[in-house]
This record gives sequence, C-alpha cells and structure tokens, in this order.
Amino acid sequence: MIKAFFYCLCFISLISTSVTASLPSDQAKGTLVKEDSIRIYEVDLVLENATDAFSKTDFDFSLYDINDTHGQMRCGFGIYRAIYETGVIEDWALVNGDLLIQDVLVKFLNHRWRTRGLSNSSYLTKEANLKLTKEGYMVGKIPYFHLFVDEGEPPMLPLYVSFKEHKNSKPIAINSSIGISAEMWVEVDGWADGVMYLLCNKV
Amino acid sequence: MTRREFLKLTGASLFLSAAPVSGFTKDLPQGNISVILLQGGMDGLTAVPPIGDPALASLRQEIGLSNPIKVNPFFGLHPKLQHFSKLMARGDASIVHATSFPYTKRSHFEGQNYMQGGGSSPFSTTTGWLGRALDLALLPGRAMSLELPLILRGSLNVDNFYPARVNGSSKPEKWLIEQITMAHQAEEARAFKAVGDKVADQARSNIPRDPVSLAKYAGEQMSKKGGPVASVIRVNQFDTHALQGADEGSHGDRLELLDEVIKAYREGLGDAWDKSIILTLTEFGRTASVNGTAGTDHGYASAGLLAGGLINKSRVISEWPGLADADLYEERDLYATIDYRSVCAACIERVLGLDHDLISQKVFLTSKLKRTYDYIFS
Repeated sequence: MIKAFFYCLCFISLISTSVTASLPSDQAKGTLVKEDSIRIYEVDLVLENATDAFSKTDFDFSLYDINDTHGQMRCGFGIYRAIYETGVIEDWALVNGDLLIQDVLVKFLNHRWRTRGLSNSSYLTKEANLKLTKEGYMVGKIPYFHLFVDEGEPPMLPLYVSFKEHKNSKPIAINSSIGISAEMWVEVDGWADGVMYLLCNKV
Repeated sequence: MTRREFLKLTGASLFLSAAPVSGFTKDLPQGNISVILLQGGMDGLTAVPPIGDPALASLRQEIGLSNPIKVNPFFGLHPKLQHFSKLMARGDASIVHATSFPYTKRSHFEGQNYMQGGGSSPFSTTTGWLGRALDLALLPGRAMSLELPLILRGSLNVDNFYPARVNGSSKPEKWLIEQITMAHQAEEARAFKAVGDKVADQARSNIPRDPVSLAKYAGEQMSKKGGPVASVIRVNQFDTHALQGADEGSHGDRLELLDEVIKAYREGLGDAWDKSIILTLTEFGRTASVNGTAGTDHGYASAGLLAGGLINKSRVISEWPGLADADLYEERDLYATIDYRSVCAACIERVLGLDHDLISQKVFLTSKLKRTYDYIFS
C-alpha cells in the first residue's frame, strides 16, 4: 500500500507535466465558455521584489522556552522514516550529515540527502529554521524530502515539516559534554513520521 | 478526519484492506478551503491587468494603472495586492483569468445566488456547492457571517460564527444551558448543545466584525485539530459604477482589503497554511470599457485569485480571449474562457480528495465540467 501511495504521488506529478488541453471546436460552440486551450503563464516575480514575504519555514517559537544559551555543540545527524501504522523505522537515512548548535540556533553543515530528485543541501542550509529549547528539544520547521525519486520519475518539491516536542523525542542532555545521543521525532504525513537521530559533542 | 486519525480509530488492518473513507475515491491528505466572496463584481482587468494586451490602454484610459506589479510580460497585479504578490513570488498563489461561472445576465442577485449555489442556473438549488462538497466528504465547515450563506448550506454539520454583542450575552448562563441539555435527549439535546457551543463562541465576542479580523479568527479555528475544514468570508462594495479609481480609489481600496484578508488568513492558519487553499469568488466581472462616470458596469468574466500552501507553483492560468472589439463578449465584456466552477472543483478535489466526476455530478450538478486540477496544482 505504501508503494501504491508513492506510485500515486508520482503519477500525480507525472500528469502535471502536461498542461495543454483542448476541446473540439464544435463542442465549444454555443456554450458560454470557450475552453479551447488553457495556457499557463509563468510568473517572473522574484523575492527581491517582494520583501517581507512569508518564509515556508516560519514558525511560532513563542510557545517554547528558548531563552537559554547552550554554548556550542556539533552533532552528527541522520533522519529516518518511521512508518506510522507499523512503527517500523526504516534502515536507510533520508539525509545525514553534521549540524552545529550555537546557543539556541541550529545550523546545518555538511549533509547529503539520499532521496535524489530535487533534494540537495541548499534546502536545509538556507531554509531550515530550528532552535533548541531549554529542555533540549529541537523545534521549528525545515524542508523535508520524504520520498525517494528514481531515475525517470518526476521530481517533487519538499514538504515543510514542524518539529515540536513530540512525545517520542528524547531531548539533548544539555548538561552533558560528549557522546550525547538524542532523538527528535516529527509528524510528516498520514503515512510516516520522521526521526532525527543525533550524536553531539560540546565544542 | 485525517488518515492518521482514521487509522487510530480503525486499526491498521482496515487500512491494509484499503477501506476508503466514505465519499472518498482517493486517500489524499486532507486540507482546508476558504472562499472569499467578492460581492458587487470584481473588475478582473483592474485586479490583474493584462498589460501585454494592446487594446488595454485605449479601453482603460481614465482608470488604467500607472504602476502595476509586473507578474510576467503579459499580466500585472494591482499595486494594492502587495501581500498577494509576495505569495506569488514565493510560489504560494496563482491567478485564473478570463473566468466566470457561466452566467451572463449581469444581475447581482442572480449572479451571487448562482456563484454560491453552483447549480444549473440561479435559484435552482437551496444548497450551496461548498456545502454539498462537505456533505460528500462528511466534514464540517464554518461561515464567518451572521447568517449561513448559501454556498455553505448543505444537509450536514455546517455552522456559522459571527461576534455577537447582544445585551447580557457577555455573561451567558452556560451552566443552565448544560443542565437543560442534560435534561433532554436525541435531537433536542443536540439543539441545546448547539446553543451551548454558541454561548462559548459568544465568549469571544470581542472579535471585531471586519473581514480581516474574521479571516484571522477563521484561520486560527481551521488550524486547530478537528477544526472546520471550510470557511467563507464576504468582502463587498466592488460595484464601482462611478469613480472607480486606478492605483488609488474605491476599487483599489477593496482590493487592498482583499489583500489584508488573505494576509490575515495566512497569519491565522499558521502551520496549517501548508494544507490550505483560499480562492476568491465574484458574481461577474466588469465592462472592458470605462463608462461615462469613470467607472465600469456589470460584465461577464473576471479573475480568480488563489492562495495557499497547497499551490506548488505560482502561475497565471488563462486562455486569454483578447480585448479587441471582436473578442469581447457581446462586444463589451471580457469573454470567459474558463468555467470557474472547474476551478472550484479542482480546489475541492485537492482539499477533500473527492473524485472530479463525483464533484462534477454531485456538487455542481453537471456531468460536463472540465478538470483543471493539473493546471492549478501540478
């Protein structure tokens, strides 16, 4: 079923690449609507011309206590898919690499998405908006590629998922110095959660 | 109900047997839908001027925009739609142009009824297209108005909210209503419970009644788990027969209000924005030419604005009919080349996961509705 879901999503993307449609001209005659051939006009607006735009990773941090400073920590991380209905965590990472925690801010360093398609390191580097709470939870919003794209399949844009204080998460033990392991869970969609495994050392 | 909740209730075994949720033919994630009713007839040529059409300037001398936001070489945006332009820049908003419900009689009363009813003709139904869609999906909706607008009327759980300021309503005797509810059964108990819920709503009666505040409130409510899936807000006074204005003026003021409403929805929805679609609806467009009082009269096609995180890529979708005399409907109005019902149908399909043919037949009561889903959501 999961595969069927993936195929379904891929199919939706696939059919979206064709955007011209037509009706026989005699079908349009005598109607109030022509509907011969719809055209898509691409948009040339760019963000530089639209200041103060909302970011896809906007997040309301006011709900969390993030006033503490934690110093600097460097962590290895890997995000895995956890199938919601079975609880099985898949063996292969969607993405893994390194990140840096500077007081409350989380910055993604070298990392690599395994999902192919449009996924590349610029998404997490430029768009991720994660902070560390006083209790050691990571909260915020990041771009998230949850599906693997095979060769020939249409690429898909990332989802934007919100990390909150998930009940399965195991926060970073702030007072420790080395070998700090933690898990940050995130709800992704109706099919899967995600879990970010972390191994951190204070620097 | 989300798929996640559905699984919790039914257990994974039911999921594995692929039992569909009633009314659903696809198991897509659920979103929410908001409709902004632009009453009076929004001028699509002012809101989204086709700056690349050579006939525009001569048709619109007195009310032409001097400084439209350039969306692409052919289309612009009214400068009052600042927030909407930002949403377009970030890929969260699109425009459908030269579109209308297939209604050409230019009557406000008939047109507003038709755009909400969505039947075969004005006054042909007592329910609305969004209400019928929610019925099919077995989902609740909520209107931000004193009375329940036709568009949301169906047969199921649809409610409305409007901040009340009735004397004494600020301190309702909630306990008394609860006692009365407990003393009744079945339908009567449900009716009193509804009264109790209203009382709870009235506790928030300090919410202003303006469309912007209501939009923010609607967004907040829709963002809650188990909150309404649909909302409807009215913005009126688009009927600018005289002194319509250009960059500034009465029509621009209404567009600025519309822009604020969309922004307020965005703020209220928060994270739920990613699962949201907002679309405008107007009963008709306005004449291509300016009349003798520097305004425009009732016309045919207009433009529809769509915004929300469910849009993957911003675009202008149109089969542009042209503004030359021969291209105008009855030599006076922008021709509708896209049936706006098909745009509404695509939004329902995206949000509720209903099959297009089912929407066409059961929601818009026709079997001939074109599917525009891929143009909007691909």
